[in-house]
Amino acid sequence: MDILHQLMMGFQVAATPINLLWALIGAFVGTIVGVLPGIGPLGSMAILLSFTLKMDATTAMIFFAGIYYGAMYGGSTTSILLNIPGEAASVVTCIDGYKMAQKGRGGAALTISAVGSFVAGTLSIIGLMFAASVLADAALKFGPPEFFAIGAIGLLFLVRLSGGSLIKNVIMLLLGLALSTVGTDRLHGSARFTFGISDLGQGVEFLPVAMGLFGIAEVMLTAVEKEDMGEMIRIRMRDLLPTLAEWKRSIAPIFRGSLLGFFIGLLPGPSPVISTFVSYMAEKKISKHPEEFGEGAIEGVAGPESANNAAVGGAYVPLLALGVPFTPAMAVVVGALMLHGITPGPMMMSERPQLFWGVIASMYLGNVMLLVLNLPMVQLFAQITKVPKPILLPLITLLCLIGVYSVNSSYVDLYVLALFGILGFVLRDLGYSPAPLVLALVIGPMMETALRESLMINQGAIAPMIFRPIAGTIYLAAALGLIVPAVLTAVHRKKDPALAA
Amino acid sequence: MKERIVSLGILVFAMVYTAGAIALKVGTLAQPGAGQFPAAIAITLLAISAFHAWLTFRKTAEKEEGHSWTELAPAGIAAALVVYPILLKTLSFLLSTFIVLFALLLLLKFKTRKISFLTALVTTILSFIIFSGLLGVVVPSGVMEQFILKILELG
Repeated sequence: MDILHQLMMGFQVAATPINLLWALIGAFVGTIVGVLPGIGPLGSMAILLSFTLKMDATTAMIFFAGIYYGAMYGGSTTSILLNIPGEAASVVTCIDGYKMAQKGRGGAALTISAVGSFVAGTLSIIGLMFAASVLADAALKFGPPEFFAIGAIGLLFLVRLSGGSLIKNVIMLLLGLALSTVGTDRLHGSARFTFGISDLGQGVEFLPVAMGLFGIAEVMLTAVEKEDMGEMIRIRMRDLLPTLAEWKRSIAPIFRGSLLGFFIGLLPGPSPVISTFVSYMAEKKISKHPEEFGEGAIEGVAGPESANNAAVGGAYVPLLALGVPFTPAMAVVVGALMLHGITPGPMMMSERPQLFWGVIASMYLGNVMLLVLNLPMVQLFAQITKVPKPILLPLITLLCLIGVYSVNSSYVDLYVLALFGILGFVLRDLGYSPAPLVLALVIGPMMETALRESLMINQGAIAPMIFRPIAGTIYLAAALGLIVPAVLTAVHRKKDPALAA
Repeated sequence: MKERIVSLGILVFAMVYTAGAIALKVGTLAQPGAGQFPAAIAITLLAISAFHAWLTFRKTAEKEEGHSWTELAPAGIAAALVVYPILLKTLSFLLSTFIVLFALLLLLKFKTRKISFLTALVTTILSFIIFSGLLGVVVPSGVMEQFILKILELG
């Protein structure tokens, strides 16, 4: 009952004209970002951070939430109509979505994708509401050892789930942790790795690093990529209506995708992307017609598109309840909160209920806006992909430069942006994922403080840090989460030698 | 080759970082100093980056994957990023932003020179109005910036 009361208060906050306007702008910008290949939700959130400087913190959060789930909606449009995923979480939708469009069912695929996204988004917000409340209450009992455990295990999972080379992910994580130690030591006040540069006293700013690694590096990579755009399939308004059979086949995948997406969203790493692959594989496995997958099966669109939207809601849980971002996009949200003088954590729910519940309520409204916005304007959004690179890339570069400078009016931040932009291009070109570095940079200071405080409390003994009831449970759950899948894979490989090959 | 260069670069960074971390006060487990956490990271990073470098050198040279790092477009964007703060410090916002944007449009071959010039000019002025006029961001200003702000105030 208390939750409903709080939610009502949240709706009062979210339904103010200014918050509604920014939710709409966020959803619109997010859809465009989702449609445009290259610039993802993270890059755009980082670029637009400076726009939130004059906003109220709640409005800024509402704006960012709109961008994040708007991008998930928009990504499906180009996947279905052009066979080009607007962002990574829409790659799977290309497989059956584009096939459906080639068979004249593109409109139905778009509608199912939008409705699935809406249902999943709404369900995941309900999940977020309850999970975040419960977790935030539990987190009030957490001490430094528990926060260190969450940080350490979170980064461990991130390295495991980020995909690509494990050793490269570990190196990126350690580089991020190393960067997080630059600046004045929080406990003793001594300068570390500042080389006499006073601007580094506060540490390496997260924003220019994230914008360099994600925004600028993406611009440089896009600049060297060859354009390979397929023929766009045109959709008429009357084509948007799915048949009864298509509706029936989509209902269960939408609910399964929502459930899978939400729980995968709780994990560190690129959860929206992972959730789409898991959902697709699950749907194919339980389908009565697995042979249709890859040839235009509606379940192959409904499941993954629902999953990636539900994962967004899941990703907000650790941030809002614990103050720990588990995805790079959530790290930008932390950056925005910090700019407004707010440290996210378990106390946020009780100390700033308007912000917490306002953001959650705005997500409900934003989902309705996206449903209304996306279907009638689908052709318009698809046209955005035609914006030529020679104008788009300089504009994004300019926005990154001015955006970074505007936060602190610091020339050092501009040099950091340049350095990480160039490094990001080189490292990403060789398959190094920037996500572990960025998240380690954000979580690193919290982990270090928690570790040192834990050691001091326990007079240097490590065992009492691990074998506390809550911390011990976290380590045990993580160990099971990492070991069990590895053991199961090994057993399957032994049973089926074809898998080992 | 690119893999080897990068792995060596990371190894050199790890060495420098380790030297810096050890120079800090490490303390004891019961009384951890400012250098304890960095030292732990440094040693792990050094070991893993050395192993990674060894792996890349052990591997037989294959055909290079990925993009060329010396292509004009990314090299030009990188140069623009490095030059922009220097220009911003010396020439003020409008001129430095215009120069960098115009150069990028020419580099990426956006239509004709005339259109690139006009696009850069309009975009620069618009970005100044948005960031300085509307968002209140303090940017290095000269005569031209003051002139635009005066017009905005009159408007």
